[in-house]
Amino acid sequence: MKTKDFLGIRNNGPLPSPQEVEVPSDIGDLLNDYVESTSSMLEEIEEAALAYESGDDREENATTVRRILHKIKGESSMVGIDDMSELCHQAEYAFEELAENRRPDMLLRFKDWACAAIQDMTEQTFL
Amino acid sequence: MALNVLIVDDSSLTRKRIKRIIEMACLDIGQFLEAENGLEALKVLGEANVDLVLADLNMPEMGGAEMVRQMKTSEATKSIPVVVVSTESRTTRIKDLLAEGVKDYLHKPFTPEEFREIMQTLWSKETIEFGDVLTKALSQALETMAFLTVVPMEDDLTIPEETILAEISFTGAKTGTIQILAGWNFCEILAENIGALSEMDDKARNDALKELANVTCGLFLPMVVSSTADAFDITVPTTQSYDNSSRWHKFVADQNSCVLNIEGYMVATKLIFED
Repeated sequence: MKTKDFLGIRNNGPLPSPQEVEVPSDIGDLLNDYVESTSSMLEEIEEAALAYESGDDREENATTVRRILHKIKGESSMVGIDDMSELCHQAEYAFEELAENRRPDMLLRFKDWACAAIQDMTEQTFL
Repeated sequence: MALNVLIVDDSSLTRKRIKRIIEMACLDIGQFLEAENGLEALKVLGEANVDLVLADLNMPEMGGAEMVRQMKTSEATKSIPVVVVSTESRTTRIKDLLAEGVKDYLHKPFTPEEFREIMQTLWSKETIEFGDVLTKALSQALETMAFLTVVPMEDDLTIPEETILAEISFTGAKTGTIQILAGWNFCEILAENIGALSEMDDKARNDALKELANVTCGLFLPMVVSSTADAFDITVPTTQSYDNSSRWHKFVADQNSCVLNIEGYMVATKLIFED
């Protein structure tokens, strides 16, 4: 499946609409697990982003960020939500490319976008 | 035989997903075991019987690479095949891992077909799975030389009292011994079907089974090596007669032996590999 273009996370450009994330039709009950797991990791990444911005334990927080991005990427591709996996992939690049002071903003943008996408997925299943 | 699979990944979602994919591959899987990281996996390996490990690389506490290194240091775990499941592509890291003894690599997410392919590659590499190849070679030998067919097992077959054990060894790319144990009455049918000229006596029975061992070995070896250029030295088959059923019971008690129903006669075979 061809994924959407998420280069915008790297250059602060436009991103596709979070409502357009494609979820495989046969995902079944794994979606609940996915939503639960991803939501808690997104909260974690927000905390790490804010801690990173404050400047304390930068290296430790950077490690947390890398680990979470990698994990969401892996879980997304395991359940076939390739758009999310691609978003994480680009966010991983962005984190390494950007100047340190621009990283937190990127992460918060990433988090907001992913939360909106997750929110939409949950709503879709109740329709 | 049913294989016990240990899935090592820090994401419970991923473990669940891997389990489903494996189930969809329709293979004979016994038990699914799970561990969150390498350290936990080593603990499971110490307590349970595991035939295959599927492991992620990036995990807290202990990653996949370190787990493989630790497994190699223990006699009990060093020969358990490990397949790495990761989002990383075939990078240098993967190549290094393959060099360190990781058997194969699956990219996340993988399909049931990809898993099946990997299992088949491992199958042909592992000793236990060679047993299947041996029975295949034996069935082919019986059909081509004696027009006898292997049929599904039945419950009411008679255990042979008087048996003959044929043995043939090979050395080369692989080294080992093939054994075939059959009843005297079966050996007589075999001798008749292959057109033995001498009268039906002990020698005729023994010769027939020797011939079967020879042809089986000849068919078996090309199936287990990757290159046809691999040469083998094969010994002349030997036989030994037994006049009570204790030999049979001892032979089939070995978990590596396999019993076949050949048109109503029970024949057992075993493969003994040397590393």
